[in-house]
Amino acid sequence: MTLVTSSPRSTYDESKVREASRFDLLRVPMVGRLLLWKHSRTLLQLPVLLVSVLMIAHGIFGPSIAPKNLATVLSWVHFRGVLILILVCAGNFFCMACPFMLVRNAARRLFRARWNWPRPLRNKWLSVGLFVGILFCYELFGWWSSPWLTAWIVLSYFIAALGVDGLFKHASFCKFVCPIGQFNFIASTVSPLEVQVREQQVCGTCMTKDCIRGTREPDNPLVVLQRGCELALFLPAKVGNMDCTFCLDCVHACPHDNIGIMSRIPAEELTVDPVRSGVGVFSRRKDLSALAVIFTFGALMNAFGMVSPVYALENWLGAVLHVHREAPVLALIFGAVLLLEPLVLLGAASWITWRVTGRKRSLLTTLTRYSFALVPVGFGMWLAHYSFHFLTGVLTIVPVAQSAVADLGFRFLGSPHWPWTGMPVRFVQPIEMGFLLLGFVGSLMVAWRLAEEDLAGHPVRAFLPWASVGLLLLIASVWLMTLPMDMRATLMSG
Amino acid sequence: MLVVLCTLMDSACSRQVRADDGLRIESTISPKPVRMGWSTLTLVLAQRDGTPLRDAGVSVEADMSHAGMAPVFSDASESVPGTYQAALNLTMPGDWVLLLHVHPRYGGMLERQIEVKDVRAK
Repeated sequence: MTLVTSSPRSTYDESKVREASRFDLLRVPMVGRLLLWKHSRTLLQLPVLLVSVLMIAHGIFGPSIAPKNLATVLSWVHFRGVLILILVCAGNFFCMACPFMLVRNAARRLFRARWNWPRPLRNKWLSVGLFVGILFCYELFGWWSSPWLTAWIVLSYFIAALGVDGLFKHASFCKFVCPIGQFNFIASTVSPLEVQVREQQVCGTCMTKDCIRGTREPDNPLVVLQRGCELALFLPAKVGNMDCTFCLDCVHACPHDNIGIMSRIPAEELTVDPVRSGVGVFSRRKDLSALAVIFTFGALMNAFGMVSPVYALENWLGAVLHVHREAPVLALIFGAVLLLEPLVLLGAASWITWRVTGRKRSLLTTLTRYSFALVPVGFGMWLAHYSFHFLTGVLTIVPVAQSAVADLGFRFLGSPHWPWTGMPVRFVQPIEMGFLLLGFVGSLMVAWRLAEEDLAGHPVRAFLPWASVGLLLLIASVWLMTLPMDMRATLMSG
Repeated sequence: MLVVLCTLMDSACSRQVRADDGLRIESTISPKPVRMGWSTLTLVLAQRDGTPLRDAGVSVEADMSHAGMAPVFSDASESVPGTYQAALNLTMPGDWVLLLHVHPRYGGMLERQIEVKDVRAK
């Protein structure tokens, strides 16, 4: 990929030529060697699995107050914060360390998946629905305030991963079901690292295609010695981070040592629209576009659920509609933020772009194509929100761990230091604003590149509608992040 | 591993929970509605037979309903026999959980949890 694009395919090829000058994490001493070790993924997964087990146990049997329980502290403060910071600094390393897959791999030694994932479900619609469902339930049931519920969510995740991948071959759960995975996939489009081939020419001469087929036993090709990509990403034609779990199966399978974790310009993959192996063409993938839109507007909704105006709005809606149950009122707000608002804003921006570009694509394709330009601004909001909780509460794990150990009857960690929290809000807020601005600039860059390709002479005419949508989202994000947090497990009073 | 941990934690937590410790507590918090900032928690403590619980050490820990926030601590003082007051600086709007730690003269420690919902912004 390059900033000056001629055609998507040539862009893609040119980027491969520039390979020699790029940073490759797998070439870094120690780190690279560790990641190249066959069991490196397991090494990363084991501690996360151990922490997950602790969270489940403490969530179910430990204190019922969220700030005192490992399940809630680790899930809603540390996990989310670390996840988003790793995504912005490196890439999709959470999927690499995913504990669900460790359990699944162990189970697959006992049970063999027999079926292929149903063809009508080979898209993101199901996972987008689950993502919305999680955002909705998070607010409705106040997951963040309940260690017990949090523990069951983690446990359910293990069961779901085992169930899906126990029945269906390959990485069906990761690719088509897992909402966290989809979040990571779309967010990692703005990450600075990507699993890529080092030299395209080497792949051109490769006869075995182990990166996708897996390494086979020479005498018996039916026996797989090293798995290839389970998410159907053929490395020589892979573009970007979408659907890549950083599992490094391809790295281990490649007989030519021709795959690295390479540096790149964050979000640049959103500015090109080539055929992507295992993914297709972004501008033709309505489901991926829906994921991008839900990711972006969901960032606002998730933060909106934690500030005072949402309670006032719920109470007002409840009074106007004579509804006293929270679910329908919350559903209305979700509908407005995740459906109506994108429909109006993106619809208007698409219509203008469609007109000024001489209707060269259909209106829906225009919308689909440009919707990915909003991913960086949405990412900025997730980053600001989650890093706020993480930075202001990073030390809370210390007293909670001390307390959990003390509850088990061991005193070696001492008495809990409850006043330990994290950075003061006044220091974190400027960082948040920086993240929001960074996301906004990223969206402007993507929208400009797309507009330039569509309207070479006057890109500004196609760019302005999307810059305006980005600006509105930035203003909304800044407004939300400057409001004091107001967290209530029950939104509607009375 | 999960089973072992759960068993350990279950037994550990069972030691703390005292379903009927004979303590009767009436609590009020003012001002109403409760707003961010200083509030006064008033506790009327009595034994099972209704006798006021005098000279007890009472401490209050206030936690937000969301993880990652600093708790607020306060010691309550006895204003009239069996009635204790604690000043609490609730630093954020939202739902709070108050943990009462009562140390009666006769020894031991009794715990209670009180929910303070809908603390409003200033």
